[in-house]
Order: sequence, then C-alpha cells, then structure tokens
Amino acid sequence: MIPMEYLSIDSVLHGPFQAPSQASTADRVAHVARLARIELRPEEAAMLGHDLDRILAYVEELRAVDTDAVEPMIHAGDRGLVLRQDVERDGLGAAMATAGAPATEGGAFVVPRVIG
Amino acid sequence: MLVTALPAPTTVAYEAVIGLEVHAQLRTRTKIFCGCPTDFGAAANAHVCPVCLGLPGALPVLNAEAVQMAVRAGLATGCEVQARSVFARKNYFYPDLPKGYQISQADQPVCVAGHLDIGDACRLDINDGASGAPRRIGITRIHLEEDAGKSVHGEGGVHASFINLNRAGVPLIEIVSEPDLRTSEEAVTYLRELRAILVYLGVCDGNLDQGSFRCDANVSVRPVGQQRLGTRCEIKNMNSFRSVRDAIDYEIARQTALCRVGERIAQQTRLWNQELARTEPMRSKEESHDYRYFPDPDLLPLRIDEAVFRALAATLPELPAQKRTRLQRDLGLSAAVAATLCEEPQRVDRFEAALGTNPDPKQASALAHFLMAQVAGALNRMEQRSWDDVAAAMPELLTLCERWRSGGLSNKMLAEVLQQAFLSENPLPDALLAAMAQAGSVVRDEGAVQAAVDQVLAAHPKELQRYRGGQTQALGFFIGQVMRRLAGKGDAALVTDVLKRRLDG
Repeated sequence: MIPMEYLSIDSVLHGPFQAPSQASTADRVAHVARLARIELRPEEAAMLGHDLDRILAYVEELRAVDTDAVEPMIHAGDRGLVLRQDVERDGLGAAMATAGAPATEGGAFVVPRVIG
Repeated sequence: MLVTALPAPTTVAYEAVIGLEVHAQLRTRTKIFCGCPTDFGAAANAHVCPVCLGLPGALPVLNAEAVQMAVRAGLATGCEVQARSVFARKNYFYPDLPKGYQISQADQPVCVAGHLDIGDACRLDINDGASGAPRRIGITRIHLEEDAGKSVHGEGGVHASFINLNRAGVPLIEIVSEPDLRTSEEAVTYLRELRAILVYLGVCDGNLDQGSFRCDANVSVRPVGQQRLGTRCEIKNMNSFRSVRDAIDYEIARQTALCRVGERIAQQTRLWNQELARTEPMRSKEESHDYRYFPDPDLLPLRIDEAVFRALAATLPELPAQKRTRLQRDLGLSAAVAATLCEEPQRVDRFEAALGTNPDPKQASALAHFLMAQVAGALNRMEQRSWDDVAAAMPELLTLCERWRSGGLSNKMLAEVLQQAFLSENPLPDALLAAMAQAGSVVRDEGAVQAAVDQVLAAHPKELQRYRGGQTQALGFFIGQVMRRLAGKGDAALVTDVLKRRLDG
C-alpha cells in the first residue's frame, strides 16, 4: 500500500504527529533516529535537533513559493531509462562478498538476532 | 410502552471486505537491476554483486525482460499500461535489505486499472446474482520492485540471524486488488485464477511453498448495507491457498465477534499462525509504515512506447478463461473438469496433445472424466505422485482409459493397474505400461464364466431361492460373487449375461 506521505520531507516534518505544530524538535529527532535505527546521546540529539530545525526552516521557506504551475523535476533530463538485456554477469562470490563482515557462517552474514 | 430505537445487536448481519496484495517472482534469468542469476537454492551469497549488495558507487540498470513480463501480466489482466512510470525508494532498515531501501514503484506504477473475472472458473458458482455475469474483481495496480534477501533466525538459543542475499534484487511484481472480494472462497478463487494467468504467461512459476507467489490480505467487516469501510487488518504469513482461506475466515470471525460486542477493531498487521490456526498481532517493533518514499535518483522514468506494448499484446498465449471456455464448448467438458485441467498449463497442454489435432469429443470427455475420477482418486490415495507426473504420462493414461472403456479391463483391474503404477518408483509412463502388461486381460472365456456361475449358485441356495421368489435385486450379489471367483477379471457384460440366463432359464 502506498502511504499518504509520499515525499520524505513530509514524514520528517509531520512524522507520526497529529499536526506539524505539535512536533517539537526533540520529537522529530527521536522519530528520525528511530527510523534510522540509531541511538543518540542527549548532546548529539540536541546538536542534530539544532541542525534539523535549520534545515526544516529552510524547507519551509522553499515551500512558501507557489509552484502550482511548475512541473516537478526529479531528474535532470528525461530521456527515459536505459535497459539491460537479461544476461548473467559474474558476481563477487560469497567469500569476497562477506570478506568485510564482522561474522559469517556457511557463506551467510551473521548479525544480531532480528526476531525474538 | 417502551420503544427501542436500535435492533438487538445479534440481528445485525456483517459482511467482509477483502483486498489482496500478491507478490509474484518474475522468471527472469537475472535480477532486476544487476546480472546476478535468480536460481533458487544456491549456496548462501553465491549470487551477489556490488549492485545487489548496495555497495557505494554501484548503480542499478533495469532488466528489460522484467519490464516485458510486468507489461504482459498487466495486459492479461486488462490493465492500462502506463507510458511513463517511476521507480521510488522505499526506506526501511532491516538486515536483509542491504541498501537501506527497496527500489519499488509508488505513485506511478507500470500498470493500473485492470480486472480479473472469477466465477466461470469454478467448482464454486460465484456470479453476480442479478446479471448472472462472472464476478469482476478490480485490480488497482501492478508495480515492479526488487525482493529483499532472506533472514534465517538462529534456533535453540543461538542469538544470531543469518543473512543470505541471493534473493536480494530478484524481480517481483506486486498485484494489488480492489477491496472487491467478500468471502474467503472468492479470495482463493481470485488467487488461483491470478496464479494460473501468471503461470500461463510464463512470467512466474507460481510456487506457493517456495514463496515465488505470495499473498497478503486486507480484511475488514461492516454491517451489511453500510457503504463506509470498517477498520482493516493486514494479514501476512500465509503460504498455501488453504492457509489463505483459513486465515481470512478466522479474521472475519474475530472482527465480527468484536463488532457485535461493540469493540473497536485496531488497525494492525497480523500474522497467520498455521499451527494454532489463528492470526496474531505482529509486534509493533517489526512494523514500519514510515517508508518515506521518494523517486530514485539513480533511475530515470521508465517509458514504454505504445508500439512496444502492442507487440507484447500480440504475444499473449491463450489464457485460462479462454481455454476453459473452448474445452467446454468444443469438447463438451463440464465446468469443474475444465477448471481442474486448466489450473496448470502443462496439464492441459499434455491432455490436448494426447488427444491429437482433431480431438474426438467423446474420447476427450472420457479421458477428462477418467482423470478427474479414477486418476485423481489414485493421486489422493498415493501422495508420492503429483499432477506433474500425470501430465507426463498422458498418452499412456489415454491408452489405459480406452482399454477400460472398451471393456478390456474390469474396474478392479483398472484400480490395480493404477495402484501398481502409482506406487512404482519408475517414471509414471513406464510404470503404467508395465502394470498394463501385467494386468493381463479380462476373462471372456464363456466356459470359465459358466463354471464360476455354477459354483456360486451351488454355494448360495438361499439367495437363489430369494431371487427366484422375485427378489431380483439379489443379482448384484451374484455378480459380485462371480467376479470374486474370477479374481476381478471377469468381463462384466458376459458375467451378467451368463448369470441372467442361468437364473431366469
């Protein structure tokens, strides 16, 4: 299903909050940190909150511009996508692919248990 | 006198509203954005490269075959193929998603506004009451996306998960239906039909247990007559048609019970637990609805010229519904028989090939009913054989069917041939030929039949007396006894004839 918030900026601005005005800087930072699966120390959260506020204020400034009559431009140029044929190419192989992994077993990456 | 404004709660009838999301793995040789093979069952991480590992600097390049398959699926389900569609990043963090986002399509999918007719298919009679037309289920959209890798969670106290990224980047189409389905029967019928179409097209192998055809269901209930939709729950983790049916039935009953006592339904994702036969809420930790979609800057919009999809439209094979109609019209098969035959293209193709280019409707009908009754029965009893084996042995089964129909084999001999062949470890065609050779032929020697009849009549004077006293239904008893003496190999017509002559003469 496609969620309502299509562009990421709306999610950052509104997040899970009822109305944008309710979102405090600390709430926004906590929300984004949770989505990014990172833990922040209080001083880091404060610093990032300061930066995030400035970025969002800039975005708000941009949003004030009336762009109703302007086509959105996602890509520079719109020549259409180049496709490839369905032909196999050599990959890296398990040994090289996992060479940088902290832990492996039987060719698989070993990570902290995800469920339960 | 008091007047109650509301009817008693128990009198309110509820109906279910069901929409399905199907993920079908496309049968390309290579992944959707890189040249790694898609083979199932390779050693862990044998099929990975910088693109599907999400290494810095690697760029995705779209597989043309995946696009063609998605378009063919759309054309076969009456969709509008979009001249321009856009790939987007769906952001979430999970170890089996190396890039931290899945490349999918959001608001501009490759196909929209299709439909699937169910009902003519079926064992079930699902039709719109008034018009008698088959039920038409809307298809909202079909979009292209990449699969994630596979996580295996350690068992027995192992506090680790094992990540295999061979599946990461395998092409999928997601087919989203409108909430047009009302019962679990309809949902399963829709799924079977959709699966058959994809398999006929050759775009998906339709394997539910290996996960190449997966389904999630959105289920809500509302009082009959209410337009507004109830709060829905999404159900995941169903890996057979049976579990889809059971999970939907369970969920409808659960939600209806809550509504009857006036409780609110919580919108949530629930997992089907096959062992306990119930749906359970997914832990919120595992949920993530905040995907922050945005157009993928690595991929320009996908453009599909009208000429391209016209050319693809010309390559569509005869689809299951068309095939069922033709078999019913030209060969006189019943709807149920045609539906079972047409579930798998290989099955119906071999069936038609065995009958030759100018099939005789009588022979076709006999073979079809032979498959649905005797052969299906043998399949049910002896699980080591599948419909695939049956499809491979179609010419031999036709021979067997003809021999049985012409009286060359008795019912008992036929059952023995099937049992012996189905239990054999040889390929079914060879096993059938061997069993037919060993079965010998029916006893047509009138002397032998007469001798058996005489013995039976002598051994059962009471029954003979009753028969002659007017209880002619004892004939069946005598036929059974004579067949037994002939080890089940007596020619049924001859046995009946000789018996009647002796009894009545």
